Amino acid sequence: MSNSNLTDADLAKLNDKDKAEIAQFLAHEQQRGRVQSQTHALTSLCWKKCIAPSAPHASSSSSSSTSSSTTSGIRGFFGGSRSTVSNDLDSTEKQCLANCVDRFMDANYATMQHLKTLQNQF
Amino acid sequence: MRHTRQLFPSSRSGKVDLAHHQLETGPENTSYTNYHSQLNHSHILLATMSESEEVKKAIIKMALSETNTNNARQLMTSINRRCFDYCVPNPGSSLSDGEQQCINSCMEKYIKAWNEVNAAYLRRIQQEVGNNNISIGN
Repeated sequence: MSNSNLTDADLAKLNDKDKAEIAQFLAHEQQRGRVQSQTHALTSLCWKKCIAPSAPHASSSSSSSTSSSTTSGIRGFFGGSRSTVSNDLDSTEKQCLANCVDRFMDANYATMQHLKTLQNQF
Repeated sequence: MRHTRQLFPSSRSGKVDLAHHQLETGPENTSYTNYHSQLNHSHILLATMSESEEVKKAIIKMALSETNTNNARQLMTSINRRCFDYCVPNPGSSLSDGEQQCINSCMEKYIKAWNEVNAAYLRRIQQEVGNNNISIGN
């Protein structure tokens, strides 16, 4: 990328209006990065809950019961390999992911609230 | 950057990314170095204004590229970890065709899951902003 070798002399060419625009843009960009990072953490967490529960054959209450029941026979046949995994999310999985995000945020809030009461107690 | 955009087309939140899109496809095709070689000293005032513009665009491009590269790296790390967990429960002497197939499907599915989670998270953030950050959507 030819743009990556900006010098101090280049930076000195910036006028105030462009400096302000850059500051605003970078703040936006930082926020976008934070949202993306949090999304990565949540996806990893919710994937384990909704798509691939850690115990492969354990029946999960919230994960897709339909897809796991149709593939369980094949899975058993191939000794636990998941060769028939669908590349699409079914509606149960989608709903589970959305619930997972919302309940995580609720739990986060509840934790903060409880922390406040604990702080008052001690 | 173009590559990252293909990876998750719906992952970008409307407002900010519309702006990014315009910046990227905007009329800034003359590269920074070319511009310098063409610089004519008799148009110093005009040049100073557009020089600032060029530097600004270069900085914005760098920042965009960094965020997008970072995002793609995080996504690939998660996919490798989760899909290996999911598709190769008992690692054998080689990766079987079934496992390979599973990894391909898993990757596509994971990206879709990422987009779902991102949408849910953005919805939640917007809800909280609407509630003035006082209560959390209940």
